Amino acid sequence: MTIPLFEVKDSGRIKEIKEGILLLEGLPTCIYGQILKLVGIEAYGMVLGFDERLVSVLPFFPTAGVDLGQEMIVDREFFRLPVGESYLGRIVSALGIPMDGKAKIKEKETLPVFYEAPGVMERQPLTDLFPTGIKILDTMIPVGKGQRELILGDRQTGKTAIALDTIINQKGRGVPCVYCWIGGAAANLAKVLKILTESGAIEYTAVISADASSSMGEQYLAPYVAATLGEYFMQKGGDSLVVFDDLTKHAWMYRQISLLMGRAPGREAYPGDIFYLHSQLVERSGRLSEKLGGGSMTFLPIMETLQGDITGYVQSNMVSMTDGQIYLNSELFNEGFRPAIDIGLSVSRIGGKIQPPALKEVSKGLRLGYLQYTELLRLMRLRTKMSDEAKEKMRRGEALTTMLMQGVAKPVELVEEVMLFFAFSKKVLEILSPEGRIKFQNELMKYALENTPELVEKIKEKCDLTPEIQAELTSMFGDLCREKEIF
Amino acid sequence: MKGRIVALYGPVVDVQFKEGLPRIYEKLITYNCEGNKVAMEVSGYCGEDKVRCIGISPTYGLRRGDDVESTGGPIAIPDAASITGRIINVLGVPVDGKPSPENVEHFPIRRVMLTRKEAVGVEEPEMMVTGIKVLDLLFPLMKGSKSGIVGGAALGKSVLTLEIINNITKILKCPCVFCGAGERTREGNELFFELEAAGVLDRVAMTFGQMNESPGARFEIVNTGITLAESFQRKGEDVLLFIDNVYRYIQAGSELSTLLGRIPSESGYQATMVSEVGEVHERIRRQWGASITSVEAVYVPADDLTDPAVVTILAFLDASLVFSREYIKLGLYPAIDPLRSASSFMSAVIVGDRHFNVGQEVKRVLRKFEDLSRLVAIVGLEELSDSDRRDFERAKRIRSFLTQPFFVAEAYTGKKGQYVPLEQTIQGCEKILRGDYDDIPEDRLYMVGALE
Repeated sequence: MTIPLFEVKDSGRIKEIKEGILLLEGLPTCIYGQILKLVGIEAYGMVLGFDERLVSVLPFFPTAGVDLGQEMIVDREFFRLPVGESYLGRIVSALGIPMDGKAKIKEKETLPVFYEAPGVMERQPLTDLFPTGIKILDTMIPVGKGQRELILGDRQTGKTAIALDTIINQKGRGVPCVYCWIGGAAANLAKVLKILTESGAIEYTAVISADASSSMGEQYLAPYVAATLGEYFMQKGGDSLVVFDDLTKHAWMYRQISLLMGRAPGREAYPGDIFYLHSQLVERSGRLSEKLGGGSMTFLPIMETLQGDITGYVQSNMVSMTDGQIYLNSELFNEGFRPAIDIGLSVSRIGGKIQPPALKEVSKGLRLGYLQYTELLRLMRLRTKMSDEAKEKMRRGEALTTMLMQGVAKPVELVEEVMLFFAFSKKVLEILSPEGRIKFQNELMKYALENTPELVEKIKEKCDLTPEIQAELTSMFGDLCREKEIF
Repeated sequence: MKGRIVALYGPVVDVQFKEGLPRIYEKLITYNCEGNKVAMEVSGYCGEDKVRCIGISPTYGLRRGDDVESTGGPIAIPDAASITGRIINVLGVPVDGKPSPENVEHFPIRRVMLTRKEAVGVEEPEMMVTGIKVLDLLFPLMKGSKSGIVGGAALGKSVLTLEIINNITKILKCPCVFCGAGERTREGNELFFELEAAGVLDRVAMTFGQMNESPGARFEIVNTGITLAESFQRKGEDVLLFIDNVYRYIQAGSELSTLLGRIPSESGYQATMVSEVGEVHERIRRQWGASITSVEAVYVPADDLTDPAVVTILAFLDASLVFSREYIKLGLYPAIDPLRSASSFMSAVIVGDRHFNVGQEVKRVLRKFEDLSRLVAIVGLEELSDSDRRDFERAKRIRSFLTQPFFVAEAYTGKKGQYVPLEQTIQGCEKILRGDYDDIPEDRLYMVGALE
């Protein structure tokens, strides 16, 4: 009797369970990175390595329910994930299994989960702004399409809010977003989902969930899966955004796996390849060359600091591999400055070159002016006498601070940013009273749309401040202040 | 020789051979289950019929029992002259989409010498003027020296490196090798286009083993870089070698060490760290009548300058430029902290009396400034004595004057780059120290080139 070849599947039996790692006997032709499946159950594991006798498998399920001697068979030779549009609006596990009670995701196209990042000449320099709708970011710490910008800060300083605002701001821009939840409480993810649903952002967002209750393997895997999904959209020639919330927990999970596998601990007990763990992930973002379609994938990884220490080991590793960081300061947060971005310690390595001309023009000198103002504030605690020049700097600084504050889930359009900061550059705001400044900000966009819609269109279209537009803007500011009695 | 894969853990692969064994550093070739070529390097023996290899390519998709072919020698890369203006990977294969150069000499990246024959040549001190004020004045770059650019994340190390390449290749016409080790691929891409735009691309040979690549590739890339530089030396040309970043070399070595199951040393680093750093730095030396001047970016993990890897690297360098986060906060670029940095060439014998004296005086006032600013923060500027106040103000001006707009940073600063001849730098500092600029606000000296 002959058995048809295609029915023979390589299989192995669980010989040992070592603290969350399975050791199997059999599988003579197993492959590194191969996906195995428990016979008869929808439970999977990945081959981490093998020697002459045993195969180590990282299970994506709790090992407590497994019996010794249970059989695992090969499910997929090379770890590929079905990818496609149907993930948008859905919540799936790290293995792409729906977690929202809706139908199974069926996509034919697949991409490898551990994809090699695009090489040196497969990319092109970043040239376009990825609008976050957050005033501080778009003007002073601009994020480019294809950039990876780390969001860093103590717990409860508004890190997730920055990422969510950025997702919400993509509404109507055709930028699919992937939100990857790693190691956090399921209840907190529910809050995030509520915000995404209420703002309508869920329609163009895929949520990959590996919450704290999921297996160690899934939590390790989730960010790579999220990146694979983002890659699908990038390779189609579009722009995509992937948020990792957060990678500190991912690092903890990898440390756990490594220590369980008996690898030597290094600094802070992290394994030697902790850098590589994240570097191979973040390198997958970028902007592809025109030959490859010119698509981009922007990453916003989130990491938590302890007591404001940005020099922590995994945190500073991440800083050294991203293209800049947004640092959220708990003191600013408590003082009521929202978003609590520490402008002095935040940076975008891509810089102003990606800003459209108008935005670049009005953002000039803002950062330095703001930093000088905070320095002056510090000195003022000791000195009472102030030169006229210092007084002027103080006034400008105060006006700027009012302008930089922004509520949660209220992204600001690029046009509004340009108009507002143009007003600031023309010193319109500093002559107003504190109440006047707030009123000016609140009324500006509404007033402009009602009274000078063609001017708004012109700025949108060209995004350049020609002398003519400048004159029109200045006169519009005058009218606004007069009509609405702002002083 | 043919062998087969018997064990694998991440990038570490054990290969069994029936007849004979390949040597250490020999390159082995196999294919993964999707048909991609995978290169490995022998790192040691385990048992009588097995070698332990590290993957230079990613090892995902390698199958138990797969065939492995030995190539009979170490990784060999083409002569640098044949790939100037181009980019190769650690294996010497071009990654810029153009074909491999044909009929050119190849050199192995690992040369094992059981006995040492030639003596080490002595370099005559000769300064390479970079046009960067703070460097030329306080930490001159000498031919044949090894300098480190030291600093934590996001302090501007790479920008300084680029500026030096830009200025040196344009003015001294020196060929240059850029070895990207464990850094961002995006930066490699930008470097290419920036060098092209600056018109110096045809003098630069590039090799990259970036952070997404396997630890094996990130470890060996430094040897590929040095081999490229050596192939210029063989033709009698002095060469400039940039390694960005040498810390990543140690980091990759440490990954390999843990994966190979070796006992770790201090802070989890590999036991072999000192000899690994020594090995590459001893290779960077005068040979075939020509010199290598190396500039190495050194990443400082967790901003900790006492990190064992950083300490080890610094021991092999002649000069270290330390970047400071404090300076970044104040907007002082390049953020080199003159008081934490050092150079063994800053002596009157080498740079001449005038240069040396101005440099010393600059350091003195900056040192005083550091003390005084603590005092000022408490009691205010008015309480200082007249002479202290004068030094305080002049130090502030010196600090401003030592900032500089870079050509390669025009996109960030929005200011045109400035090349400042050494004489102008020295003269400017002399004038400020003498008090010629006491009445001019310090912002006027901020981010400018030479003084008018």
